[in-house]
Amino acid sequence: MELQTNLRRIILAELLVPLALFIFGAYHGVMQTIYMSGVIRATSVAGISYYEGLTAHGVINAIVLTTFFAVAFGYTVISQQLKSQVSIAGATLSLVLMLSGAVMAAVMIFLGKASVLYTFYPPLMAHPLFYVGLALFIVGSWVPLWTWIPVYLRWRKENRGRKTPMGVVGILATFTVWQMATVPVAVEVLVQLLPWSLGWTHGINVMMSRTLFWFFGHPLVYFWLLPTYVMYYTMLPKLAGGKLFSDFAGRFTFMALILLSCPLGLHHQFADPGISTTSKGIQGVLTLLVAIPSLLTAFTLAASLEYAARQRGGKGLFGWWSKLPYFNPENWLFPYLFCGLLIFLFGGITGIVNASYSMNNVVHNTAWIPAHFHLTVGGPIFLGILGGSLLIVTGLMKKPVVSGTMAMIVPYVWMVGTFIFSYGLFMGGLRGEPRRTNLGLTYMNPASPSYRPDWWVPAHMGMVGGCIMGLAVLLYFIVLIRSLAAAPDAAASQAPFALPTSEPYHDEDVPAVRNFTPWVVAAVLLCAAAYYVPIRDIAKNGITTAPGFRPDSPAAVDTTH
Amino acid sequence: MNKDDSKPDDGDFFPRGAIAFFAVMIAAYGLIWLGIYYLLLHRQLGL
Amino acid sequence: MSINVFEKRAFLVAVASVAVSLALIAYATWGMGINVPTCIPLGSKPFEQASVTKHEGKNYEVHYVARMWAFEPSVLRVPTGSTLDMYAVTKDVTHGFLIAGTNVNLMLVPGAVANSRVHFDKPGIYTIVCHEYCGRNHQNMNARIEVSDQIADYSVEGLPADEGMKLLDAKGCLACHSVDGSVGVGPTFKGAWGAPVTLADGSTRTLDAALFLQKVRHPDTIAVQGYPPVMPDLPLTDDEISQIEAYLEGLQK
Repeated sequence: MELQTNLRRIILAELLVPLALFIFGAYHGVMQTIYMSGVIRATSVAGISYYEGLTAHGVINAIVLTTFFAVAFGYTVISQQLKSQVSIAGATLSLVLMLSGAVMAAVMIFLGKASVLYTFYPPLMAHPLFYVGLALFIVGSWVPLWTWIPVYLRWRKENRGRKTPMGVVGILATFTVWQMATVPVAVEVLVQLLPWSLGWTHGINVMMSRTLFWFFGHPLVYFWLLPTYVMYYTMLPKLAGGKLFSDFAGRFTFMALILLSCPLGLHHQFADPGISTTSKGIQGVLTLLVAIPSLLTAFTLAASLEYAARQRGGKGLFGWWSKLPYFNPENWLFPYLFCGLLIFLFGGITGIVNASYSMNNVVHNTAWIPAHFHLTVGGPIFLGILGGSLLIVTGLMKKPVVSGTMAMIVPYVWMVGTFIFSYGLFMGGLRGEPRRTNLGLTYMNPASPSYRPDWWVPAHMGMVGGCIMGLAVLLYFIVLIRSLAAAPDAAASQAPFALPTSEPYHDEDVPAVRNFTPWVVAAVLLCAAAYYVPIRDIAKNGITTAPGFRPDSPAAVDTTH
Repeated sequence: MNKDDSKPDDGDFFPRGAIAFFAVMIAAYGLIWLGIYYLLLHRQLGL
Repeated sequence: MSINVFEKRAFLVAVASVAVSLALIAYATWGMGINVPTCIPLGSKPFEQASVTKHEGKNYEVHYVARMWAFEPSVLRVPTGSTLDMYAVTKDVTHGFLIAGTNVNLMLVPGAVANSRVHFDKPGIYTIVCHEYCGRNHQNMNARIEVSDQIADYSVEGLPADEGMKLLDAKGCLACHSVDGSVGVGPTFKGAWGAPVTLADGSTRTLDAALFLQKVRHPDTIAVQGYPPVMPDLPLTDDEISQIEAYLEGLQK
């Protein structure tokens, strides 16, 4: 079934505008690796300071691009798999709010008035419009779920007894997690940060802000990951030429992530004062539990790929891996998903290390951390976004992919880049190299008393890797632009665009994973239980008088006029 | 296993390759995790 | 039909792996005393000044103060085999506190006190790095601990009091005021802080922060009995004044 015309336009805008912004985000990523190696030793280049660029990189790549993709992909999946129309008014409202919010935040960043990084930790204070932009963006992203739920409920009524399509389960799980996750950050932005930045309140409880932010910040990564999991469970087996090994595994993973995404943000605050080891310990245990659905996913996807490879004649205990469609230009999407999985193998274990309570002391805020997340959000998630966007954009616009070969190469180049980048940063991190720091001015400057020659190799590996990642992005945009500019594909115009969908090999019927309600209720209760004590303590003990500071000056911002 | 499981027969596919992969993955994960665990102990206690 | 048998087994392996990790972490925490920072009880409010206090044996209590963009003290020298009980606060934004090669990895958040204990059994230079973005000069923010076999007791640099002494010299105060009790154009600073001072009009005040600030900012509004009213205007910032005060507080009779 063809998508509604207006929906088609909205989805295209939601995919293409963030990709255009991403050009800046990618530029700043590559630039950072050059600053950090000491090849450039400067506060700023071309009028953009290191920290301004770092803020842009985080906000554009990790918030704007990821959220817009989830929304656009969500609309595509819901419409197609439920074969239903969705509310255009809702989709339009969502687009307008998210777009104005994103533009507002981006403008503030590029005016140098919000160099607070994408975590915007107070007491560093940005311009009020930065916070307004963020709030608009978040509120806009709430709208789609509430327009999808009635469509879904109607489908359930009309299809009694049928399993909800896997992709729909995954998208609804994605946005359920998002809805729960964004409440605390909305409170932080609207109740704490915005009035404070306007001078309406004087003083802020910084521990509370941090806790509210990370209450959001951890489920944020599952919000990023879940659409990619939808692609893995619904598209990958088909692209490989096989079937999904276990239907249960997908549904279980989606339900388990609804339950366990939120009540564990404290593992980002293991090094914080003001929170007891008891609270940190409880959430630490929960964090290790959330690894279980992903470990299960690894097995299920391996089994699905094996099934496909054996269909193609794969033999032996390990030899079958060679029979997968790695280098087929017609099947250019497969490597986006496969390389993402390979990268995620290393992203996963390094995440488990971060979560392992006291082991966090070894790695917190060192370069290990960006090394880890470039192998997760910068791995499967990012490649899923690139591949999924190219698929949907060319599909909806009936364009050919020009060329399939170059499109196919992008994920491999990206993978090489991220492995070199992250290996360098893991090494540097274990040697004490900090993250989020303009190393070139001091630590990587031989003329500085702070010079650290033992970080030279890691920082240069980061730069080499970063440049290769930049090359992959360049190739991707060449493909995207050439495809958009090409004449419509006659063959594609005949059939409506459809996302590839896989059949299950084992189609287990396990009622426990076919009902959202108990999982959502349990998730809310678990969040309340995990966070009640720490938040109560911080509200009672935390000071509320911290003034604001601009990144440029140690003098407190005077908002008492 | 006296069936030819190199070509999956619907319902009888025995994912020995996935099991092997999973075992290797868990083992590799264990090694990496233990490496950082060792670093933690070494830095605290000089072990 | 029920869950595929291989999925069930994979699930069990995943659960077992997580259980083993948890057990090892529990052992590190309770068996070996390696833990993450905890909440310091309400009684210990953030302190204002950096300081070092020696306790029995080679045990030192160090109070670090972080601010944009430096740590006080900037250099601490201790003998090999010392144990440091470190408390750290921030005067402004959130800072980080990482001592590479140790498990000291702290966030310093306004309103809270961070704490970690570290034992140095190997000599060397241990750098303290701020690893949380704190503004424009974040990359300049570091300090160090030098652990040496050659010293018997600690020494420290970069405490506000030290900075205060350097300022007295740099701003020319020592031209008229001594720090060792000797007579000069102006009263000696030795033992002056907190002591009574008789003014030219016969009244007695105590040399405290208010009086000191008034004299520094408006020198001709206060004259001390027995001394000529010749103190010039001095362009001292609030920070500099508090560093000088810290030094004077330590200058007992």
